[in-house]
Amino acid sequence: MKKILNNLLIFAAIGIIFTACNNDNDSFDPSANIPGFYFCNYGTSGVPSTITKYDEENDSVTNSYYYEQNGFKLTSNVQYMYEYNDNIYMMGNDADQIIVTDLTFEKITTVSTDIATPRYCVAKDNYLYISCWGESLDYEKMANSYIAKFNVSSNTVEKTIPVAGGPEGLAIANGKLYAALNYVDSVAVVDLDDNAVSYIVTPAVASYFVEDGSDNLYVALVSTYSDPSTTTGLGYINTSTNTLDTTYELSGVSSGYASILAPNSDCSIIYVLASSYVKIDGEWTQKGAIYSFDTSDKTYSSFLENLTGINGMFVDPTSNDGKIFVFGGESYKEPGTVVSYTTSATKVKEFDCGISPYWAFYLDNE
Amino acid sequence: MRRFVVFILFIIVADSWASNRQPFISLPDTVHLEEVTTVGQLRKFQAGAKIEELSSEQMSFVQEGGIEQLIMRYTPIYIKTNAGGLASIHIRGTSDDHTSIMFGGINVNSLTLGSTDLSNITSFLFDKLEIQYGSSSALNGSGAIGGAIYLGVQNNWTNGLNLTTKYSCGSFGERLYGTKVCAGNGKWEIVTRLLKYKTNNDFTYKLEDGTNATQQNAAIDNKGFIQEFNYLFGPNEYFKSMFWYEDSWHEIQPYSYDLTSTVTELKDDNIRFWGQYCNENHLLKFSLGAGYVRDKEIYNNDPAQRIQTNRLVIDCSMKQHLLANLEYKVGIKYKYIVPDVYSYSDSADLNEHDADLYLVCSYVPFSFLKTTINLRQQLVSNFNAPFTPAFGVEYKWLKQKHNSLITSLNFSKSYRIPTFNDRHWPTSENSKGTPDLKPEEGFSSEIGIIYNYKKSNLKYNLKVNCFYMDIKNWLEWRNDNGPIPKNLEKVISKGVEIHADATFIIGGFVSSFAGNYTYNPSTKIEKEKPDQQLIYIPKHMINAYYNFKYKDFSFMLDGNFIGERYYAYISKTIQKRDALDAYFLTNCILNYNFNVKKQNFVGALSVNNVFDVDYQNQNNYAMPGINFRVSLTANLNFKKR
Repeated sequence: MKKILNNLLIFAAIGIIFTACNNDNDSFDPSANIPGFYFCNYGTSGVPSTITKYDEENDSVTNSYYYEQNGFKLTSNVQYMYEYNDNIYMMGNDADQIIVTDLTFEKITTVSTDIATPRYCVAKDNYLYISCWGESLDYEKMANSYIAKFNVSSNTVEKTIPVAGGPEGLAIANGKLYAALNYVDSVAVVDLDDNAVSYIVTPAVASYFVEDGSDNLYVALVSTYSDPSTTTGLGYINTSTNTLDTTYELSGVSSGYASILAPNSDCSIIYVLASSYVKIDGEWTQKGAIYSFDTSDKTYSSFLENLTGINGMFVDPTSNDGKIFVFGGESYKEPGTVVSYTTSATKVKEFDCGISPYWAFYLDNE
Repeated sequence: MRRFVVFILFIIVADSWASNRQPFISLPDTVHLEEVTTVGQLRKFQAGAKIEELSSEQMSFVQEGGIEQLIMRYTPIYIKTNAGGLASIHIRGTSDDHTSIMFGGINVNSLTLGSTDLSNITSFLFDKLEIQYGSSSALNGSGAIGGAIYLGVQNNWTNGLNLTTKYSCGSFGERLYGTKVCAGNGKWEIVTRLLKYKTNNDFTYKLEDGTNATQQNAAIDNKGFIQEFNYLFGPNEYFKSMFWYEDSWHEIQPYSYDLTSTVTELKDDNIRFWGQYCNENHLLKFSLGAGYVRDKEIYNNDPAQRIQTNRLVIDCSMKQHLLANLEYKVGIKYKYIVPDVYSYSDSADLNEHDADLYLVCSYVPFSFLKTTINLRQQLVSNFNAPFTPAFGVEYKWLKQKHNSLITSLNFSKSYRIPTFNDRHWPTSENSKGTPDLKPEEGFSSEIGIIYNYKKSNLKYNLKVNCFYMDIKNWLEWRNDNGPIPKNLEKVISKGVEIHADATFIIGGFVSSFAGNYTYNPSTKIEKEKPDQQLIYIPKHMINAYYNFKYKDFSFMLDGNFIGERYYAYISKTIQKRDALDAYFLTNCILNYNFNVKKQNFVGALSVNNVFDVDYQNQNNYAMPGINFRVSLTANLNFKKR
């Protein structure tokens, strides 16, 4: 017995020595190199967001880029990220917080006061306007939702403007703030001078906007579980009259909360994520599809079909012939995928990113 | 690891010290994991199946919180849990909806989710907990791919009045108030069980940057009530009924880094009734049972988000000995299910009829050989369920006065019909859900070796079980223009479970030791993807417990090691897997029994997480450090003269 005890003590001592020698130095080497495409991966339950950087010039992909730049991980699931005034603003909604970084993604601060379930943002005159669904989510009508007016100099919420109905995508046009309501068949219009709210009735709930270059807006009209509709597609809002001029119908427009609309650099084409029926093994099956909407002749053309697990797209803004990045993931627990295509839908490159990529942007040196 | 070594050393030293003191004297019949011979006579018709029961002592040691606390401490089963609000069971590398939780003839798993939050089943309310490892679909129907838990109440046919009442008070505002009253005259018996358990869960934990934070919005308040009425007509003829109401409320624990969270709450109301008449006085033994279950869940106090199901269950069975060594049982179980879920389509008739036909047979051709066959076919409206047979054999190699050696083999098919949510939750493709899903189908095989030794003053057991499970059409919610359930290729789970226990007495000391080790690779296999270990399934698990009694004192020390667990998958190009660190927890309990006016009282002091280990069972959910609990139990017995 004594011998066994001695042996066990020796093993225990070896274990302690090896544990003590464990190298816990997670050293990191932040990069100052900014240009590249950045993908915001939402993550999943219990797994916070990550950032993926694609450096096209060096053809390199860096996953967990935020971690690489900071030495710690994000502490929220980021719904949307936005670049303004040489800073990046991430809308984290689990936990609720606005994460502010510089252009290298080095963290500056996080703000959570007066921020409840942030979704999306736009900026004007040193203010971010942030759509928030509020506390105690009411998935019938989103009665407690609001727009937070966030001062980017002081990093504080200066005012909250109640806008019921679950504002999702935002746009600023003609001096007014437009909020796509995701739980009511309307677009809210907020007068930025007096914060008065008016509404444009839509045939379906709305999700995101694209500004057409002449201060008018295309808005995605979608059918959702809580508010189904048969009239989906792109609505055209005349911001001078605040009316929905036309609806360009397209069935099966994605109701996802990601980059389902992606304009090219001059907004001559808007890519729309939707669905289409394709024949698989002799049976018509509904699959994901991307359509290109020509803003001149107002027609849709099929761009890609038979897609699975696509969340969104992003178009290289540096050229009209720029690549279209299509991203998504079949699983909520596995890395997602980014595939780039030419404007003629020829596949160029594919790489893996974090779980559930939702949004992307491009940063250059300027 | 250091703590684990210290823990094992302590047990060895304590045992060796004790063994050197006194010669052995007679041995009581106390073991930690006993063979089951009670609820449903499980083993009788399942030769080769691994079925264990937690001892009443273990049950009495851990009565606070849900049954997951018991399972985590005393069995080789992984429970994925946060700080008490949500606990899901993963037997042998399977999912939480692959374990049936049986209460009488009712599987209490939610019909919408397919699983049960074990933290809502408070152990104080039950007298027994039996665990079947491996597939039992042939016996229990859909869902029992990984195993089954049997919640049991003990019928003593009380003659007089027994009252047990318990109060316990612990760290972080934990309180338990429990009462059991049994009254009867030896023929009829009325048993009432009441419980209230609450905790504020406002423990302190460490953030990644080393600073401390206090857990907020993770309170729990559970109330339970079981009412039994039983009548004994005569030997082998009785009527039993159980009504169980559970009111479970908890705040959904926020992530450890969410320091500004607001309260989000979940409330479950469950009504379960089971009544059974049994007459075994004739050649053809007969049993008829009927039950009703209503499960209701409300998210964040919003009645618009109601998830409710109602079901009626009728179970009729007969069994007969055709020969002295050949017995069969045949039965039918019928269920009528009415779902009421806010998101399901109103345009479809979702009410479901469900009938199970089963035949089980036990044949003992020789005293050293036992064989069983189980056959089951479920018929479900609007769905095709597979036929599930099972075959088991036990062979006694050695049967001597003091020791025995048994080898067992078991093969079975199993299945799980997709849950109501899987089939009816609207998707972007179909507002009526995903009706064309296939059932998950499993095949499992198992070999076991059991060695028992028992002499007047020493008893020990060694069990080794090796298992292999192949589950096709594994269901997972995937992203295809929104969430949608899909059948994946398959999951293969295999492994080894080793159990050892020993009990002996030295002078006035009673000393017991038991330990489990599990090795369980459980691999997801999909085309064009790397094969990989399932998330939240540890490959290695160890638990051990040591119980030491002297006169009116008893002391239990237990420890469990949970190996590394992945919490996300990899792809062909992203090979680095994120994993939670392994951890080792140690708990101890000191009990003191005393009598006042011939009535028994038990005082207890528990220390949990003795070494104040900072760990996470589930990614980004904080867990409590060292915590304390004191309790007083009164067992009052008023027998009729």
